[in-house]
Amino acid sequence: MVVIDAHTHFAKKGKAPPPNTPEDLVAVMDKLKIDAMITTPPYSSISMDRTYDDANTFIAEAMKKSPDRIFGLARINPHFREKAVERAERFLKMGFWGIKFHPRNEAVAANDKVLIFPIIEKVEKLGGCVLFHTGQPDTFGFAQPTLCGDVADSFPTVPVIVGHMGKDLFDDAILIAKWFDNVILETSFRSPHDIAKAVRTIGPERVVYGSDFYMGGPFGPEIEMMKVKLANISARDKEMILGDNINRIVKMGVKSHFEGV
Amino acid sequence: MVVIDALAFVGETLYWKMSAEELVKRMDKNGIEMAVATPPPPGPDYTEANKVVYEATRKYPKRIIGFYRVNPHYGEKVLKEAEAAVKEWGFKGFKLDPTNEAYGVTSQIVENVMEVARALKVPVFFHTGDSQFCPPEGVGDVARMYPKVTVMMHASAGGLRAAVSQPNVVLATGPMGGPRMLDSMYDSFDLRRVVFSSRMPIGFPELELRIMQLSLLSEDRKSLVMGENLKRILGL
Repeated sequence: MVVIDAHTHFAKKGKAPPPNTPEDLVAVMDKLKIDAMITTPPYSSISMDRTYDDANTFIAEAMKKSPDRIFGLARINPHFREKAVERAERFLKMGFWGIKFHPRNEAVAANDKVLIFPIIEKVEKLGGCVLFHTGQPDTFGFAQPTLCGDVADSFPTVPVIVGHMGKDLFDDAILIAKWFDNVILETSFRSPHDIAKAVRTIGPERVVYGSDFYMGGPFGPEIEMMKVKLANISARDKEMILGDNINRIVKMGVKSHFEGV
Repeated sequence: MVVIDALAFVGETLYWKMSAEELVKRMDKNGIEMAVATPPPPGPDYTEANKVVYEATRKYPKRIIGFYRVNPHYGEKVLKEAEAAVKEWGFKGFKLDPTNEAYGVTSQIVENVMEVARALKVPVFFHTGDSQFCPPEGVGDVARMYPKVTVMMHASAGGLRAAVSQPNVVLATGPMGGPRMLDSMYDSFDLRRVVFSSRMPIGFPELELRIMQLSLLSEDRKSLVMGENLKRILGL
């Protein structure tokens, strides 16, 4: 069985709480028997120039050190327009597995045709996925799941991961996943009942485990994994959600590191 | 460590049911000694649903504590029932859900219930947070108006703000706040006003108990939250 946390954050010391080295991040994974993490810079890692260049580069280095465990999504501030598109292209060509957007922190609607779409066109061309922070109550106007539905509709070949499954708007997130086959629901902060509802509505293939680590604290990955395990779904569904799905969708090629898991 | 759950449901909804037997079974499985039980939605009249909880408390008097669910829209009828529930049937508090029953938490009909609670010296547990009817800050306003009534609600950022300024507010853990939230929140808060809750079967005691285990609180402080506080508040 492969376990992959599809939504985490990682940055160097001073820019985020620990872990702050690839070795320490892998140690966290080992402790919880997580094979790999998809990770992206947190908002706290933004630089004075309002880009995430340093933070993305830090993750690029981490990926080089642990290519089978650490899978980065480059975080892009879309307000830099053409330069943001250039950055996205550069990071995707460096080996990032996709792009992370945080519409609330970057103050941009998830489906902004001028600021967001040109970046996703690069993902469409170069490959990878996009991950959106979503959710009421904190992101209304910028990141409700319906806006991600518009993105999924506009880029049908790009996997669109709806972070936190829309939080309190999880029903909306499940609906857009029902309507668009390239919508992926990430489970962090949702209850076992909500995870089961997602599976009942769209099937298990496009629901993926995520923790938002370290935002949920050092124990977030364990608690969020426990929610998947407590959901009233089959054992096979749980395996798919905990790792097989994201491994397949993003073509990560992660192998199991732990016997008997 | 004694574990007392400040909120669980007994009864039947459109989608699920929880019998007294099933509740006790789940309590046993999770090492929960006692639990507050109240009827689940939809209502609107909870007279029969409260009787189900009453029967549960009769069957398991050492395990299940009843909180009478009040729909204040029913006026005098429900106020009399609520009074009898405490005086004659052994209910230990009231449960109000302004979202489900559609009333503002600061409206007159809530004040009527609070008057009864004040006279009977029982706590009132408010559902909060998911609608304009019951923001935690509104529950804080009610607590300010009735400083002698213990006002309970689930922990949240708004609930914490209300609780810091209102010493009669008690916060229940969950739903599913992580250990970090628990630790950061309770660093600056009087832990004698925090009680463990699972909201089962909507919530999961396994999850909430694990979060408590992972919390960095000392064992003494955990013991307060897990049961000692509610024991004191309800006079158990």
